[in-house]
Amino acid sequence: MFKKQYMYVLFIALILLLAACSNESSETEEGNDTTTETENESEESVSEETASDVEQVIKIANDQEPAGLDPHKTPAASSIRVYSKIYEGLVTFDENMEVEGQLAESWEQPDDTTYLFNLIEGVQFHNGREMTAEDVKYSFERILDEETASHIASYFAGIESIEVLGDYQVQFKLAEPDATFLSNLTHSGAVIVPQEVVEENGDLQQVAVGTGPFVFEEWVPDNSVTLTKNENYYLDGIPKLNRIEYYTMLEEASRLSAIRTGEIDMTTVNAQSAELLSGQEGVEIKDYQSLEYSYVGFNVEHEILSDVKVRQALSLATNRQEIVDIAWKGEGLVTGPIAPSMADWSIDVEAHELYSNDVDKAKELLAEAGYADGFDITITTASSYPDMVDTAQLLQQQWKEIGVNAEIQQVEWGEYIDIWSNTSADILVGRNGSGSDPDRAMNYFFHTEGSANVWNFSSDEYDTLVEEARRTIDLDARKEIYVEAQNLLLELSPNLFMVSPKNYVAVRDSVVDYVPYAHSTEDLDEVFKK
Amino acid sequence: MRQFIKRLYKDKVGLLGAIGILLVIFIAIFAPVIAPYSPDEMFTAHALEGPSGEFLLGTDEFGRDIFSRIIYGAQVSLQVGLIAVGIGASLGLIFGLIAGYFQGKTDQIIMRIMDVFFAFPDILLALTIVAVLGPSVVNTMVAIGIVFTPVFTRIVRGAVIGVKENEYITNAVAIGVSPFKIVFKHITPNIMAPFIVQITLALSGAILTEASLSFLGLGVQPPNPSWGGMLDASRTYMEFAPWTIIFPTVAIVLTIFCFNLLGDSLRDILDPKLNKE
Repeated sequence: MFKKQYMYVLFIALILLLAACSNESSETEEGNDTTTETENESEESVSEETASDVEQVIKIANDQEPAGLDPHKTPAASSIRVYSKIYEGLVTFDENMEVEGQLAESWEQPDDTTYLFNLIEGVQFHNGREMTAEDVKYSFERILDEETASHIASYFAGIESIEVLGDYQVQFKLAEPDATFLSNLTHSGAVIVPQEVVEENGDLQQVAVGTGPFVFEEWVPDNSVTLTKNENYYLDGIPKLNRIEYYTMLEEASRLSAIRTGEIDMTTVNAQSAELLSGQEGVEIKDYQSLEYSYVGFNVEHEILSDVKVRQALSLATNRQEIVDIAWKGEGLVTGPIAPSMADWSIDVEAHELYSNDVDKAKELLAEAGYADGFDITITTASSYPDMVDTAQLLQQQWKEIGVNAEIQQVEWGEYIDIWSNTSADILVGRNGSGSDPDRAMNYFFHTEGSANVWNFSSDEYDTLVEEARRTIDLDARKEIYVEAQNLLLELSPNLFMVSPKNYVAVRDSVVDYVPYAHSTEDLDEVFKK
Repeated sequence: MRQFIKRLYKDKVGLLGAIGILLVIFIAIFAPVIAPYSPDEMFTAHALEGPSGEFLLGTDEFGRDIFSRIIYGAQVSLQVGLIAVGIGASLGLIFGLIAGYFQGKTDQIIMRIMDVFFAFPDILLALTIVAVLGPSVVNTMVAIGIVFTPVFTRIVRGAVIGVKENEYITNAVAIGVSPFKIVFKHITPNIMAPFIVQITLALSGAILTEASLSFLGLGVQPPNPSWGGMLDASRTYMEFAPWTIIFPTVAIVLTIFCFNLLGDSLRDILDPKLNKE
């Protein structure tokens, strides 16, 4: 009796195997005759689109559930994409990353430490009340209040006083000149909120009342968030959409199939999926060079890594272009501490000596440091990010050439964050966002007192430079200081800066006028559907 | 022993399993001879190429030969499987013998602790242990070993209690043989049948658990080849490079299948009730 059962099992296993094989062959063939398949599909979706012609509803797949909707408290990207449509700040970036007015019509700077903002008149919160200078004062006081524990409090720590000069005029006084003040005001969290709503609800995590083009309607946990058009928006003809529906889809694969079938209109995808979708009719891939970059961080108090020559040798032994080609499939740029998408703030790193991948020079430096035969070391990385694991494996191979034997340790995300903040790894592969102002990329991550300088790195020369840059208002002079600081940072190599990747958004072709930028990835104000 | 092999030979399904396992062991031992390339060697110019004469089962995203990695992966799987089950079986045997022989309070204490471990799903317990100890091959083996201890303890304890009732044990106690000698000389040989069957079955479980842990990035660390780790890495490429995921899957499925076939067949052969006919 048992034997009969086994025969069945064997038989089924055989069928499964055969099925797997035949699948494979059909998939490889697919490359040749995808056209017929996608044609059918696009015909279907076209008829669907014409039917929904009048309905201006956009459906977006969100890769994470929003962590909360309070703009003063929640830095999660999944939250920002929702609340940045509901709230507005005084100023914002235009597509060239220049500061332009949003709720502030204009601003003046009577002296280096004073900013005077003139607000647009007649702007209403979604609850119908008019937004005035008092709300601006309240919002920034809320950000600075320790009880709020705002993630952007440190950006505005230099504010000495906020004064309401009239219903539509407000004045900020700073303790000292701060070149980053205006660009910090463009931060997604530096927005104006109504006091009565905060007081009524305790915080703004579950409710949202702003001045923006979209009104918060509903949040179904683990499922969707719905926003509707703000009929009383102060700019004519904006927004063009009637509704935005966000659906939480954690898995890349489910977002991929949803955009293929047209179930959703828009979603972020990774480089691999972007490649898969590139031939797909009805779907457009929009990419932009992100503000993020990957890095290799050294604990500069480590016995071996404390020697700057060792760090320089590792920099020289690293073939960054190979990492772009394999870990990022060629879709990224070799970068320094300021990502190339920050335009002329960043320096041309390819010309830097330590980026030359000169293995002989690397060996020389190692020998000078007293490690002619190399050494053993551990590289720590997060298991949930394939690009980090790939980078670690490539480094391991590349460093072998100068005798450095690296072992890779993958850890789970929570533990990784712990290791990062306690600097308990020798070498850590990770990713940074260089933010909206070079001050973040330079000061925040590498100043001796920088809140994200977890590397025990400290250089007086460097500290002086970035402090000076922060105080320098003149643009050209400021840029020059940052060039010097970047070169110094590459020389000292507390981190090796690797690759700034491209980001991808897959959009159905029924969506018109959507263009993502590094600093504004999902601006839907003027987007509509055809 | 000879009778045992004869019986196994008669049971064609079990024989198939045994041959399969021998094959995997053979591959693991002679991996350096069989594999055409080193498992870590990157041919970056040939990344994600399909099966060809040069790369029998294709290459992965770094241009590493998948065939070579699967061959070396067998080493990892068997090593982790054997050592992990070794740990679990030894601990289980000791605890089971103590609990079963002495019974009473000792039994209660040991078995209730085992129940606690038993209450956790295997993979969750293994994950927790690895998370505490840190991911590495050794810790993976320790974690799987601990996970399997309660099963062995229960089986051994049950068998010991059964054997203890026999007159020769009662006699031994009566003439004053030391408990140590009774347990190891008279009881242990008589509980081997269920113990061995459990070892075979646990081996397949251990290999699967290792694959799962490596899939989650918490088992064998890259670039060491592990079948589970290969699955994890190829997940993103499976749509346009299906060979990266199919062949490691086949390797896992076939190996587990062979262990299960042998295990079930051993249970039939070693079962005294079925023996009598």
